[in-house]
Amino acid sequence: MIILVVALLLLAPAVFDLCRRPVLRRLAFRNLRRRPTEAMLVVLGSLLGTAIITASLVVGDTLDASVRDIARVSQGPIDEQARLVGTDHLGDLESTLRTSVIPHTDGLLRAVWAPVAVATTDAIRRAEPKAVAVEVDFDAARQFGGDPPATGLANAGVTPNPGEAVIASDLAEQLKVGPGAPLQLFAYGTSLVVTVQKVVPSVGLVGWGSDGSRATTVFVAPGVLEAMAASTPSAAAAAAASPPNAVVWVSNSGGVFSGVRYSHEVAMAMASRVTAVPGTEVTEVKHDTLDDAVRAGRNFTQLFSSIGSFAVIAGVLLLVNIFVMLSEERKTELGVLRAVGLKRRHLVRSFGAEGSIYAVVAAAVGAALGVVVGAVIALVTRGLASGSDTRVVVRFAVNASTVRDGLCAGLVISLGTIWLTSIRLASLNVIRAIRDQPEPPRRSLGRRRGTALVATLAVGIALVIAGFSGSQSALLLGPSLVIVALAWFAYSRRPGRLAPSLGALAVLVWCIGSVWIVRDRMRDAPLSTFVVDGLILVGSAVTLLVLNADLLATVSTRGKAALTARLASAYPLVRRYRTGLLLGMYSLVIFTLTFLATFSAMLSAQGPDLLASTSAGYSVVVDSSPTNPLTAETLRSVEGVSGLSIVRRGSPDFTTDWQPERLSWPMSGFDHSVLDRGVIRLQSRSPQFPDDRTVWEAVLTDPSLAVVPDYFLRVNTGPVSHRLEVGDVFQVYDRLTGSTRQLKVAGVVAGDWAAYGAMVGKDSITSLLGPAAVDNRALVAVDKPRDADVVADRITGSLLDHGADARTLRGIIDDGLSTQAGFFRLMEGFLGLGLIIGIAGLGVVMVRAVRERRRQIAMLRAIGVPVDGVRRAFLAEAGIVAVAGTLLGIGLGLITAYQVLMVSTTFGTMPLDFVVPWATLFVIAVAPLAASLVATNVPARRASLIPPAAALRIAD
Amino acid sequence: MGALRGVDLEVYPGELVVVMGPSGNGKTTLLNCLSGLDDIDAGTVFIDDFDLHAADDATRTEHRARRMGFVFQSYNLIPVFSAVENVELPLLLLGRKPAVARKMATAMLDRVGLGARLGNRPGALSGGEQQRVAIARALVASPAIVWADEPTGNLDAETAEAVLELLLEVHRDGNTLVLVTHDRDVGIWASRLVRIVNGRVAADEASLR
Repeated sequence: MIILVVALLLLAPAVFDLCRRPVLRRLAFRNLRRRPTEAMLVVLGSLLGTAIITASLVVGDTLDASVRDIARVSQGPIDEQARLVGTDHLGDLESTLRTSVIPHTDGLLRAVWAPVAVATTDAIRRAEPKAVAVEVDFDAARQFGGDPPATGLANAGVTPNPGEAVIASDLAEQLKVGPGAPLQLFAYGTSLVVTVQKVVPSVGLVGWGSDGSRATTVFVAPGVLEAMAASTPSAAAAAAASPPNAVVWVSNSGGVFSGVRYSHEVAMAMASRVTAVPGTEVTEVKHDTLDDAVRAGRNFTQLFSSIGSFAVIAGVLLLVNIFVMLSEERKTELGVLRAVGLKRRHLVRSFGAEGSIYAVVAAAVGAALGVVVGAVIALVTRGLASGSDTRVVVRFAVNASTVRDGLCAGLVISLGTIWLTSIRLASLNVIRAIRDQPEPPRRSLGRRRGTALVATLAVGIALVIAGFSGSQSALLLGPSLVIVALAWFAYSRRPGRLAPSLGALAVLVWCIGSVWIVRDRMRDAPLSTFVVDGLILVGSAVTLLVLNADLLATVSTRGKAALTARLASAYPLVRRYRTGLLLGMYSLVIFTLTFLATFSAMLSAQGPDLLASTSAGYSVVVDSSPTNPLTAETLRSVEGVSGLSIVRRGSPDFTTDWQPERLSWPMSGFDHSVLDRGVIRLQSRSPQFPDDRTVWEAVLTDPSLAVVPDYFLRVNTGPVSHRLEVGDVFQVYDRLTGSTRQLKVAGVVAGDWAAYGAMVGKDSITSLLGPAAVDNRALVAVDKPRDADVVADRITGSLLDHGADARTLRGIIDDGLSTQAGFFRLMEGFLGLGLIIGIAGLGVVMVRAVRERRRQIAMLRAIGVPVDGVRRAFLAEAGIVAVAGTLLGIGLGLITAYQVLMVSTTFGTMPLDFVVPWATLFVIAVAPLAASLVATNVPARRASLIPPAAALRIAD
Repeated sequence: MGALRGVDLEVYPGELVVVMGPSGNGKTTLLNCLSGLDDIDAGTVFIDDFDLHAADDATRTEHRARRMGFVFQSYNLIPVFSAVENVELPLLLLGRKPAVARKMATAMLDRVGLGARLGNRPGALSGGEQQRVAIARALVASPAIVWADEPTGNLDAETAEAVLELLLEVHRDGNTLVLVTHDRDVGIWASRLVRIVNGRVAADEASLR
């Protein structure tokens, strides 16, 4: 709402003037009608900024709604749950919770569940190794929460009888089965054939347990799972398996989403009641999912906004450039208006009124375009998400308030730029304006400028202090502002290029060198810091270039080429302010594209090294059902398997100093076989250990030690604000037994592709989690590493009854990297909008230039410059700006990428090789340049065809 | 109705032809047609043996570069070029080496009395100085003919006199000059005076002087 108020305040003076001041209104509309093409170009330049802002917000809405939808499809009416391992105390649990109605709840439902593997029985078997079998009373389930369709079981019919099953539509689609089809369930070393009675929608209770992936629920008759668990063929298998679980679901008053506001209160009430039932875990499942949704949506909005901000700033620079050009065209006219009595503030209002018309049209069109762009991004993101296991279906969503905010944000930026530019432009000298003479350089600071200088210095010092107190953005900006203030002061004493050039150079050196000079303070800087970094770098580099370009430009070619070069470089070298705005606009977008491309290339290139460092000599990871885990003997019997290491797994809660709220995370227990073929490389280790192997040996035997991944317990995506270092401690809690232990970090690994979580010795996890820790993972080595895929498929296909799911480590890493790469390509595409600003901006400026220089062009033609010569000069002028902007942008983008990835730990601590994506950079360099020249060709051709006599006569 | 009708004119080497007449009667149009800046609907224009309007635009343009110089009322200097850069333009057009062009332009500016203002841009020059630069530009490539359209029109009397004196000096050096003006004080210096009234040559006579 604030943004709406600000927009209205900025618009109010223009609205008043257009309604109540006929002279200003006439000026505004006449100028619009006089130059309709230019008006359209101004609108085009302005609307792209609004489009980008709106698109960023729409992306946030879309992702928020899509992730939020997980709550509907995987929980439905379930708001909280109380969970037990084993069903012995289910009755006690339910009766305890039903003692009296828990306030703000409208339903309670008990269920029993267990992980199972499911397969078809026909000749070509299709299987799902990670299905969930659930026993629940369908009548009670339909009434749960008071909204039968939300449960997914509205039309499920009666509770399945023995030998019957009702399955989720996702599972049915995967297995290609329907009502009447037989399915074989595998659990606890036995199997059971059931007949599908119905297929039900994968929402609500049917989607429970899927956590965003496909729903693989099979509803079976009550007692089936207990019977299967009791008929485990061997005592060893029975001991290794996790028994069926019991759960009581609670629905809050209100709908699927509205009831979540009572979650915490209800969970507290539940927890206080279930203390008498040992091993009960109470969780606010809906609240946690929606929290994740909000966080994901916010993070994506922030990411797209940060990336998009470069393009928005480029749009602002274009707008300023256009307004400066418009004012210079009308300088004489404005001077005459001032001479006949128009006050300076009326001049400002006149510009402001005209500019506001452009801004309103641009904001409206831009917001509409932003919604379209957001829809395209949603479509592309859906494609990326569908390639992974996630069930997040990205559904385009947009709120009216989002469009309003995007429109208002674009309007505020445009209007703010217009008003500030108008104020500056209105300070012209009347006589110089009428005579079209340039303003002389100021010889002294003056009171107003002196105050501004002091303010800049004061703000800079304040930011320096803030920077050394923790804000990395302030640490970049503060010293930069101090340098700017000092350079400004030096310039006022001694005008010339030296002071501002040295200032720009000093700022450049500071921004590039800060990650080394104050390295410790720049660690873990958020992405926004590098947005600030990029802006300052581009600004100072452009300043340095435009101030000194004439020193660099030497015309050594002969004849006509010399003339073309002279004509092409003359205006850019003299009109430094406008050239700087153009260069800045172009460079910013190229800079960001280069940064993204380099970052993406570096992450993609690390694949082989990641595999070598995380595999410990094993090629395949095999997960199996906790109810029927694979044994070493069974795996060794598979052809191609040459070695293996069984891993014991659990999922306890953890806390640490900066994460006091319990957080569930995987935990893996290894034995010494994991060291038979190599070691998982550590990123850092305790200094008391000479090498990685010694660390692992200590962890495997000492129950107080652990190895953790670098983002362990991190809940936010993006920069690592907290991380566990070697020597830090954290607490582990088993919710079911209540036991706790403090563990100390002996080593840290970079990344956790196989999702090991906290890594300890096997005995350590057993002593902590008891029967909740199961040997349901194995690391498998193969005879021939190139056959790892074949062996993985063989394991999955032949060990269905154990719910085997075998994947190669290479495949896991490649999938992860490819999803990352896809995401980067999406962001690069988003930034393509900014590139349109750069190209369109150059075209707009050249169109204006032709109009401005009409007389001079006619004069050149008169003295003998051929048609082609004029066209070449204009194309060369655009080419110079485009090439300079591209080189600046690519150079600075590479430098910043190097800073972030080699020195900062913003995106993790994995050691990376600096990779320059030459092919992508070639495209980034050539494509915009070519497009800019195409955009310039039309005005260049028009310039060349100006009839000399007519143009000179009009001027006279 | 045509801007010019029945114009039959010859200009001989070394002449100073002044074209006079009331405003809007075709003086500038005549100059533009004779110099090839504008097209004609009928008739011919020969510069020596070269049929100006039979050539295509590129040939005509090149011919202008080689054989003509122009001085305009509004000076029409390139505002982002310094005085010497404006003057050397025609030489660069003709393919001279930049160093040679610079030397020749410097010498020409010296000749017109602006040797100390080489690096100044038009914005930093007075009207008279700008017109001197324009004259220098018109002469630097040794053209066969110089066309001047109201060269003193934007100048005060004293400056106009100085510029006129410069043009006369140019003529005395043997250059052919065709000068359009409505200023009688300029007309008295002509070796030939052509009067244009309503698009026709009303008189073509020897100088009043």
